[in-house]
Amino acid sequence: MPDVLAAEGLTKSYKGRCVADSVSFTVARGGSVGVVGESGSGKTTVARMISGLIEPDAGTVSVNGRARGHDRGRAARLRRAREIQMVFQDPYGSLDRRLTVGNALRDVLKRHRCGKTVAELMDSVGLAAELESSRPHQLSGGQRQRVAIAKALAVDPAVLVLDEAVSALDVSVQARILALLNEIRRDTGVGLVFVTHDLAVAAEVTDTLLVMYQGKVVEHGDTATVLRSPEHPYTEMLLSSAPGPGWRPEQVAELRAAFADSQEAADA
Amino acid sequence: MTALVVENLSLSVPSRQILRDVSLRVQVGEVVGVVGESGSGKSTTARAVLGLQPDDATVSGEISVCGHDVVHACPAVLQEVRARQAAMIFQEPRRVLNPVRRIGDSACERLVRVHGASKSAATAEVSALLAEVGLSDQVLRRYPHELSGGMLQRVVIAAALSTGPRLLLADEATSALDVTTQAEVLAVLRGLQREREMSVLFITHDLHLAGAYCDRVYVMKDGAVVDHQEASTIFVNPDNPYTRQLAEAVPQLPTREVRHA
Repeated sequence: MPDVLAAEGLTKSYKGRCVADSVSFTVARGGSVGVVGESGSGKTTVARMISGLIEPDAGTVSVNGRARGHDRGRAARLRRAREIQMVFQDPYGSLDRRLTVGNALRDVLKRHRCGKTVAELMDSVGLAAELESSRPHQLSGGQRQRVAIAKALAVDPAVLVLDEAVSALDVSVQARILALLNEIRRDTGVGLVFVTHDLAVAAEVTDTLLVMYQGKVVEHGDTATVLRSPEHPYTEMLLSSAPGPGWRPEQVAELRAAFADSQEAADA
Repeated sequence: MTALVVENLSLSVPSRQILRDVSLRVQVGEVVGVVGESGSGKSTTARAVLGLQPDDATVSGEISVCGHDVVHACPAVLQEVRARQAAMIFQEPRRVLNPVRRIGDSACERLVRVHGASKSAATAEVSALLAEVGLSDQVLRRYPHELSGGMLQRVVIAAALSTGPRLLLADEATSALDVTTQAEVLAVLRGLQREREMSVLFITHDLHLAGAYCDRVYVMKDGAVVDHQEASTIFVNPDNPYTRQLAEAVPQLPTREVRHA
């Protein structure tokens, strides 16, 4: 089966600092790739290069075997939108606060001439039909995130890029959204690129994992294998940072400092 | 003296009741967690401790901060509590710091405006605290957008502690940080808390974090306290069905293989 997404050698620097260094990976149809790391590791930059919000300095992104173009004009732009859609941490940013859920979804369907109805779309993300006339502020955080996902899925994208999409949600709501995402990728074949700082969340929803540190992919492999037996000391450190029984923040802070020192020594 | 006593606190706004009979205590030098999902009333409880309930709210019950009655307090007592007894830190430091003012101005504001300290004395005090949280006093001349979230949260902690509060209310103070930065900030906070014998009411939606960081944990649901236990028992199959449900909803990492060096 061909890959829905192939990222090849994505590289980006800001002011001479490399925030993404030759990042490559592929997403199979219905597959899910996690990109994890701390803030500043470059994971969001990768997500934004994939979706075309940032122009990479080098490297290519192709969807269904075809490189993403730069053609101007409405038709090309809409076609690019149908290839990759993005969902962010704060759904307020992607929803118009004056539009009802129904109108927001209807807008997208009309613009892309999709043969779906608002009701079908709402049903596919588990939103009750009576919420159609609600505005974003009347919804809970989980419902708002479902609307954002519905809006992204309206165009039947090949790939959905989710940047910390469940990080602001309560655990029980988070669990339901993660289950929804797994169901959607199984049913529609959409490929997921799931960016998160939470390794346990990545474990729930991804098949393959990329661990990034300072713009570099330090580990790349099967999610369960990477989390069960990490090869790189950075992955190891991230795994032992999560609060649990016997967790001591002082110890994590020491590990973190020791790791940063060892990296500096290696670079010098 | 108990640092914080909340006794049968109920709070309602005209449309609905937000808190029902909430009772909790924080002893001197103790770190007490309040865990719950959005809408459980955990933040409302913390805000009520500083007398920051909505204008149209009706409050009944008792709140005492280091012996000061907050519920029936006159403005002067409330100001005393807010200025000297208790301080609060929030999830998003960028919303607390004025984006167009230098960090030093914001961080020294409490000492200068409320306590009447001179600008230089306030700067000296805040610089000393910044050193304790691992930041150089260079940051005082910077603007908020120039610092990372973890650095800003440490600035906010230093500013909150500059007036020597006995009680710190931390409302999701590390929830926006990634795990390693969270651990760094919490390590700093624990050090300062022990050194000053400060009491902390630690509000979080993260049950595991509360279990690992706090001494005792209260669990809230729909405006009421539904469970209260020693923090360490959170991880060993809690009795309370709601606490267990919360614990089970937390995504789990696969068990790691023991590595042979």
